Amino acid sequence: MRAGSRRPWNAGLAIGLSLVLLFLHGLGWLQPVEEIVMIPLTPLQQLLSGAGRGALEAFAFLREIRTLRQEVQRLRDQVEELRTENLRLQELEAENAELRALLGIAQENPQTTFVAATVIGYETNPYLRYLILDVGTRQGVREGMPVITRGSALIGRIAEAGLNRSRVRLLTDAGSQVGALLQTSRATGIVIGQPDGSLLLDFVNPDEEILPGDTVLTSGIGGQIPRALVIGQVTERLSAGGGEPFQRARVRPAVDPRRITHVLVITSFPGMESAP
Amino acid sequence: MRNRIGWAAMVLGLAALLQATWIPLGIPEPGRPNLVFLVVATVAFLGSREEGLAWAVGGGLWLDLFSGGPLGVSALALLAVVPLAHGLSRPVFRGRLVMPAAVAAGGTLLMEGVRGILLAVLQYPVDPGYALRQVIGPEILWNTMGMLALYPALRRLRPRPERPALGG
Repeated sequence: MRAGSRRPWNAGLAIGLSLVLLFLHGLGWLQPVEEIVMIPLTPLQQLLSGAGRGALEAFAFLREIRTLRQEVQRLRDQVEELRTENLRLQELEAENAELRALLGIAQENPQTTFVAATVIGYETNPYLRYLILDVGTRQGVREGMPVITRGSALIGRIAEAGLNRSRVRLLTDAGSQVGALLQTSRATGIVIGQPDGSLLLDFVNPDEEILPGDTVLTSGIGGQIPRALVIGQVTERLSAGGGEPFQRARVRPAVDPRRITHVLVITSFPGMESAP
Repeated sequence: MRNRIGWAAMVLGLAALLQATWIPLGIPEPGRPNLVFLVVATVAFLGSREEGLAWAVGGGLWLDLFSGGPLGVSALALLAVVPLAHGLSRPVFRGRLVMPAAVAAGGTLLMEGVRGILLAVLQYPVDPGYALRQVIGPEILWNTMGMLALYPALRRLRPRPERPALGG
């Protein structure tokens, strides 16, 4: 009851005080008091203001980090996508170059017939060296036919032809033998695959010359394989023992079979003799 | 029964297919892991002897289908692994990886040894020194690592049946 009767008086006092302060401020009499009061308050205000601004900046920074993270992730995804695309294009370019090279061989030898094939498998037995092709008797492939790749490099011969697939015995297989001719010295011999996957040129007459670096070609003797397909390069002439009737040399194969994806099977060529 | 044969044929076929495609592309010579061997050795180690023998024949035939060599050589070579793998499956070192690793190492030596001997008998040129250094040696390492990586998962898929301890 007493508080209620006092309330209008308190309000009047407050309003009156405010009006007096307003009036005195207008006259400029309160300025020294205001300044004295503000002296300790200013650094506090600066501190709070700085802290508030810092908090805002930190908040903005956090938001920015989140945005930047998203942006980095987006760019990473884009880089990954472009890298994949680049790899795909490189692969297509390499495949294109390989196919163009094979097409070039076919165009340069109009009298020779070829069947283009893709390598679809590799040997599962570590003692043997074969490839599996996606063509077979249905495409005209027969046992004994030579298989070449870019640069007219001989990689092997068809060992077995199925209906829609065939196996190629690589030159490097230990059971492989091919008549050979050295490009410079014209010496002839036989290139034999070795169990360690290397090639050996053997049965070269002692009076003929073997030069390291000389290119080894197919001799064409026997009519099973065309003449002048590239087999490899002589790397080392092996010292002949006293009683050995022939010279021998190591040969580096012209191609690494693991890198081959497309090949040509030579189905017929001028001077070809049918397989025995 | 028919389901189990189909499942085995599918698993072994897939392993052989990968052996003829991805493994040679991804792992350069000399020496590569043999996925079919790993599957057969694990089955022989975890299952019954008869099961191991059946998987060995199937796996070997699959391998030879993708090979230029004579059909049956790999089957015979894998069959030689089964007694060893099954014999070592007694619970001497139960829960440890020693025995599967021993199966992988010893089994690889046995399989490639038998395969090399069979090829030599069939007049395929085989150089034993080169085979030991460049084929069997690295393959033992690959297969042992492969077994150590695969065995814990395979064991969870198929717990080993209880067998009596040696002499017990």
